[in-house]
Amino acid sequence: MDDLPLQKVTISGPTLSSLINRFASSPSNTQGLLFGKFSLHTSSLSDESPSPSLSPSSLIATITGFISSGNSSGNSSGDLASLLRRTHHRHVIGWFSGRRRSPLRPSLHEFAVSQSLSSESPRVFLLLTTPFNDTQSLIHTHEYRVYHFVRLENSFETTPLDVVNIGPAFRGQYGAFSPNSELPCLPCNFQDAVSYVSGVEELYEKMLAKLDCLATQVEGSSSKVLEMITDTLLRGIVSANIALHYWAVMETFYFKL
Amino acid sequence: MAVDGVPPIIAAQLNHLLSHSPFSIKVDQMWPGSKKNAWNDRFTLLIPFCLDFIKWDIIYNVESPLAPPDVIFGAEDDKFLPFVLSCDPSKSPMHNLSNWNSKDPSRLLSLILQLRELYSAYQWKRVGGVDDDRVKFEISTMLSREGIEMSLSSGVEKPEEVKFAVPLLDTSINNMVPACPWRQLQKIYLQVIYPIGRKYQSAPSAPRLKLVSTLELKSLFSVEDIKLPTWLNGMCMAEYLPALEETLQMQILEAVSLIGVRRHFIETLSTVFGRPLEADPIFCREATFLVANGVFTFLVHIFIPIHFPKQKPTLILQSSQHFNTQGVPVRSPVMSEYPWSPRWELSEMASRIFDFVVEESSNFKKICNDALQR
Repeated sequence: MDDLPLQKVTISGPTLSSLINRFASSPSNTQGLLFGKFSLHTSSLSDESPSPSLSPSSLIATITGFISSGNSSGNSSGDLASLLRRTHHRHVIGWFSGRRRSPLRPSLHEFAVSQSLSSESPRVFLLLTTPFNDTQSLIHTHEYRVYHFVRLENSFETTPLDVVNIGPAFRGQYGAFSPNSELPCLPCNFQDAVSYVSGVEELYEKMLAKLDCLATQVEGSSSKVLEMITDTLLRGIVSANIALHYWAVMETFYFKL
Repeated sequence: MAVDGVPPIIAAQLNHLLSHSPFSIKVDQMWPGSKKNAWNDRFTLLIPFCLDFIKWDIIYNVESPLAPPDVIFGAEDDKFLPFVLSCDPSKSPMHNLSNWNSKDPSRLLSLILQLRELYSAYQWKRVGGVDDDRVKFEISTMLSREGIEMSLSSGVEKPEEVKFAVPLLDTSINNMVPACPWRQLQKIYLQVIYPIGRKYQSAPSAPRLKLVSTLELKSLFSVEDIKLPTWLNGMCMAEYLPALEETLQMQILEAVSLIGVRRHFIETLSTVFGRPLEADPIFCREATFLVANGVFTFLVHIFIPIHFPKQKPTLILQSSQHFNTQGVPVRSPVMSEYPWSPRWELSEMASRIFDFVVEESSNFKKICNDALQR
């Protein structure tokens, strides 16, 4: 699947805006991993296309989330690599780099990182920059471009980015945006979660034990009542009192439950 | 451009680069990249290459000034990135970057030199891939020539061109000048531009030729004065260059010998004007004398052209008593309208200039007084 061409990259409006927000709130440069999935796009076969076997399909990458590794510093490729290990490479489709006030084209560092990451799996590279001019006076404050790292040619290819928004034109794409990446591991909260879960389980176990106990009690009293009824029937004496007593017992039991 | 507002660790690297580079690198612009800090941590370098400049953006990060810088190359050089990373590991700058030592101020310069060398190899490879018989032939014959640089320029609207920058003359001009003040090696290059992609033409047209020299050489010698030999039909560079180099060699020797003539002239001037206040001791292009006419004292600046004595010197008079409202001494315009013949003896030339200054002094005094009254 790696060798298929990448037709386009799609991202939902909220994801893109939160990515831009993350970049805008960082003091200088930022970078991180992109999560999502690749889906196969089969071109519609038509009778006119002479040889559909040449390029039968391509991939569409969908970005559903991201994780930022904070400031990009000297050993940032190391940061990304450790981030990749922590996420176990699951659903990572690429990485992003945001650098303020710089040209919108990949740098030496970014190329080197993409090349070294491409041996793992991620191939999408999203570059975010801000314009050279004072951003206060601009309406257009952020720029982005998406590249696809082609391992065979060892080069970046510009790839169109579709921003999927709400509206009838995008209805067909909603399905694609159910997030499918797991939460990144949260080691600090894990112990709390474990103790909470075990607490709840203990509570349920106690309740079950109580129910069991009640059930045996009811079973015992029911059989006693049945015995009494059959006994009475055998004796030929039908007493409304006994029936009344039976119902009273049953009522107490249900009330207890 | 002055290196201002740059974080000290980065400034040390940049200053070392600017002062120690074997060729002159300039800073085009500097700007801050951080939101919180006003420190300039990004800048554009203008790096000379193939008689032109390449513009590279150097992106440091003030938030982590110990980290290595990032480099963004020109937009038209997108294939240079893979070239850098696929090169021989011993020449690769990546080792330098991954073992960055921010305390060593020479690191940025060595990074840029490494990258520039790779860029030269990259352009060489591009030119080698051009489908043009003449260019292929020229490369094969010029291979042995040291220091040759080439580049392929192609634009959307421009036709493709192959540019060669051929360094001329093996001898060092720096060594020919006594007490040479030049820090950088002065060189003369021949720029040869071949247009590409006119396959239908039966005979290839002559390339465009231009002599270019390093900037400081202009105080000794001007390449504009050299008449290039004509490029005959079917010629190649290997045939063309020897004759040109021979002419150049002679012209430079003459230019160096003219320094001696100028020195002698300044010495002769001092016999009539007295000891000079100031004189250019190396190229002998300039001398200043203090002159008094009665109580009116003024300076005479004498500028001697490189073609002296074929061309006559120019003079500027400067009062040492009259100043304008900004406190600047009153000066005369550049003067050269005085009698001259290159065939005169040096002493004759000196006394003619002295006579002219005497004549002009009363006129200049009037100019000075007028300037005072205004």
